[in-house]
Amino acid sequence: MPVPKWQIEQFSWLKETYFTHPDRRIHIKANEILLHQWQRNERLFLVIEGEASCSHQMEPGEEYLHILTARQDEFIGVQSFFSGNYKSFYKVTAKTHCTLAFIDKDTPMFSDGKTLSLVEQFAPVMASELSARHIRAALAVKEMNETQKRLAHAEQIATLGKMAAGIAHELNNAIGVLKQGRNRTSEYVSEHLLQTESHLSQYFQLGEEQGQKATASDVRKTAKDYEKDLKVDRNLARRIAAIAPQKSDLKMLGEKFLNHKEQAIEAWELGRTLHDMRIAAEHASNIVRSVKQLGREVSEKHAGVQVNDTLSQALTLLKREIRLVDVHLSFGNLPEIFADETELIQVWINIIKNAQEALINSQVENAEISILTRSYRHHLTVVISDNGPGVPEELQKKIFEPDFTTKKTGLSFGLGLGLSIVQRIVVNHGGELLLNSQPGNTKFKIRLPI
Amino acid sequence: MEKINIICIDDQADVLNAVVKDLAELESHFIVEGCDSAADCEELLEEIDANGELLALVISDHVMPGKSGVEMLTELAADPRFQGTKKILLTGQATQKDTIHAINQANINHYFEKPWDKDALVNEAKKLVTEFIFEKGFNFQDFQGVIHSETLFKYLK
Repeated sequence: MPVPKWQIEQFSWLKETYFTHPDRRIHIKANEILLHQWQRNERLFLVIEGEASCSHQMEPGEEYLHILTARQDEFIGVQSFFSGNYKSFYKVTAKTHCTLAFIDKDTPMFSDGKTLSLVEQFAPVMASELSARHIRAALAVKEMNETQKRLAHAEQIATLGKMAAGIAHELNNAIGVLKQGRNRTSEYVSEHLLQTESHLSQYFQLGEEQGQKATASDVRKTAKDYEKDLKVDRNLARRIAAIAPQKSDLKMLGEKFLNHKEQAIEAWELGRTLHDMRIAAEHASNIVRSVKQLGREVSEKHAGVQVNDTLSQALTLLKREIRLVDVHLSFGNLPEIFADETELIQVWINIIKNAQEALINSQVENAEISILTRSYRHHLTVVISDNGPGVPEELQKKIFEPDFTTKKTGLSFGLGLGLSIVQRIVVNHGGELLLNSQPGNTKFKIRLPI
Repeated sequence: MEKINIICIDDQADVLNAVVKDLAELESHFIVEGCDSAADCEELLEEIDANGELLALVISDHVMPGKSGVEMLTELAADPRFQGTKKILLTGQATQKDTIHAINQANINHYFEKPWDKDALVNEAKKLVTEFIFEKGFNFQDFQGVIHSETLFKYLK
């Protein structure tokens, strides 16, 4: 709200007329108290220079609440002076060195020819001073409401995190049971086959150890050839192609395989199922681990952490996700650092998985992710770059916000829990995270102190 | 006899294998194919059409890289070459909006949530292919073993 011109002129006139007298001027040093609350005060001060804090105590013994800061050209003692009770409503403390000019109740009035009293001369300026104070109070309330909302949200997240950690624990038990059960089943079948149908054992082993390597479309393409070459129906051809995606693979399996192919396929498929179960259980464990991170309030840092190792572990966890991407590694010789290994792995997983998703979703040809680590005198850097479409400039700041996602379809929830967590972990390690992104070259650079 | 296909789509190979494996008992009368993306499926659709084969049923995941399952099924529903094709959405990750779209625009016949129950999935698949067989005017006696008996009675009444 702009102050009308006449009011500014009125203020200048008051300042010139009443607050320039050298006898009515005081200086106080920073942190000195000008007035105590309820102290007798017959003066109206104008701040010429510096800042003073006005605070108020609601009940004796309670702490003083900061109410307002009086700055240059603002008044102190308005209430005590104009109400006529001459008691300071505030405790006034100098924040910086202050120069104050004042009038007191006996200061004579200078006539301006229009007004009859000093109070009348001051009224408009005082009214606008009070309304400015009200606006400031309203803004403070608004800010407090927002802070409260943010706090409530943070509390919600923390509660969710704790709940998630509890659920994660329960899930771990369930996954453990499934994992053990799978292992026992696999061992039993393996033993049983060796003893009763040893010719099928190798196919079971092959499926169990390696799973299916061929993609669905590879399988379909080879299946067409097998349909003709082996004179089998297309369903059987498809199942053979899953084991032997190349004709050379079929040669390796040999005549023996073809002689009892239906049984051999059954054995291999059972092995593959058990393989998939193992991978799925590992995947579930990893998700649980990252969910548990949410509920963790303190990180467990220790000395002797090899950053290159944490990167290798992250890549192992992401093996399935990055199978269609060319990954280049350039690991420098890094000193061991003081860090939380699990959290670092979490950071790499999030960034690498984001890169992978960007590459796959935009169907980039020759999709590449490069990881480079280097050590400097006081810090080391990890640079993870990809040749994807890049992060649009307007989103570059937003991607670190907790609620941000570009994942439109469905409720996407994988290993990655978002870049906000990455940011939090890196900052918690005393490091920094920088993003430099253009189409075809996106770089996440993480600096960690040595 | 006509070659009739059933297509399963899932970007996760282990899930795809499990679905295809669950449908093994339908292999006696149908060709069961697996695709790992909508694009992969579109390629197969062209092949099926070019070879003059039929497509009885598509079982698709929803959240996949590239085109989503619902988007693909919506396009399939509008494709004049595959008007009788039945559609099942098998997903653990569809939002309410996706689901509404799937019903209204993609005209899906059935919705399964992951993890699915094998018997329920196979039963539903049999029911839908039986409907397909009748709607296309095939002789149901040629499909012994894969016919859904309750659906059969409904048609024979």
